[in-house]
Amino acid sequence: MFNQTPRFRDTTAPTNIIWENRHIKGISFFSRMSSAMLIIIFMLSLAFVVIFTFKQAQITNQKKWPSIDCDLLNTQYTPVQINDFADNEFFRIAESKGKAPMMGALKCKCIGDIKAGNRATGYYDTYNRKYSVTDPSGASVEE
Amino acid sequence: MNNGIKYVIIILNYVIRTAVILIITMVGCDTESDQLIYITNMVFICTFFNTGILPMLCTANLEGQLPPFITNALSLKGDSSDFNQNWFVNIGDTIVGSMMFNIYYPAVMEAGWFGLRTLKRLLDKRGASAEHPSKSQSIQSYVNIWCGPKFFIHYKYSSILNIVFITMVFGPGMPTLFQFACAQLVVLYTMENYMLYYVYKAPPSYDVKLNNHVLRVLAWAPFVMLIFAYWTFSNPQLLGSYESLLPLTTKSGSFYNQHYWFTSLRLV
Repeated sequence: MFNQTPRFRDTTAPTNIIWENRHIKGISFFSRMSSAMLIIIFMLSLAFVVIFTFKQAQITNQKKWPSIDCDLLNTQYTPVQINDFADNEFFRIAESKGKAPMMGALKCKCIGDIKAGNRATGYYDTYNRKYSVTDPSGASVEE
Repeated sequence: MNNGIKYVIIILNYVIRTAVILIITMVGCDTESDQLIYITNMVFICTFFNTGILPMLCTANLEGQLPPFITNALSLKGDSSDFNQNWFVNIGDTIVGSMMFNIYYPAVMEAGWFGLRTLKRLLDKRGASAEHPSKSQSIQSYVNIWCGPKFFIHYKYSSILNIVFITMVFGPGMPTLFQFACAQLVVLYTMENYMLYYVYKAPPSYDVKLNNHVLRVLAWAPFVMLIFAYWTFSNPQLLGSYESLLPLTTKSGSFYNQHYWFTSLRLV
């Protein structure tokens, strides 16, 4: 055709065309797409803040109340050992006014006490009564 | 709170997905296939970023891996200096949790939508007689109540891409992700087949453009897996092959194990 070989390429199917958007081309399309990207980046930044906040709270909680398998602990240590661990843990937490992370032994001891029906007295109450009035060496001065 | 983060991620993914679809639709692409490709890409990038990258960045400690001005500027001085014990406990657990939740999430969502549709139809039939079987005032409102939802192919493709890429990136370190990914894909396939035949409106005839595009993107997944698998499997803590250990500066300090990307690649 006019001394040139015609080349044909597939056109877009009519049902594939969004007719009301045909006029959006070049700089107009580019600016719309850039604005969309900025909005999406802003949304992702917000998502980052939300996830970061939740994640930090989760990590703090996990450090404070670690998950522990008490059944496993009971098979690996004797009740006397677990009581000693729980004592140490309790005093460490008491000294730090609740800021020291829990290690798990105290939790298992409390669960054991509750299962054994000692809920009324409770580990905290028992130890609070026993050690609340002590001299610097740790001996009770109440008796 | 300890398990809440995975639900937060799923909810954020849903919100962002809806917003992205709306925004890209408003951009004004001149063909349906271009619009679908843009939406699929953007939804995939956002959900992958939210599910895989963001939780990792939250506690990342990249001191020694990147120049100090970058770690200082982006505050990348968290607890996890590598794919170590701390990372698996804090971040790996969240990623696995999200992937597990995603197995039954599509079914739960559909149950919710089904309930809503049924309620609308019951309200439409309430007080109706044989002569006037519907309370709808026009044929269009009757059709809107009694027909199913519109079929959107773009975010189904994005979900598949997200599942595959998350599994490929973190799967070498957490092989359980492969079985969760398999379960998710089976649930998705079953749900979509059922929905397509019995629930959705008849979808338009899509061309192969979007399908081919998704297949091209999926082809990159094994390459990404190789990179992350190399990093994970060259971790001295995982292999137990320490040559030297750095003592912690403080009790709560980050654990460093001499695992740097430039030494892994034998660049230094």
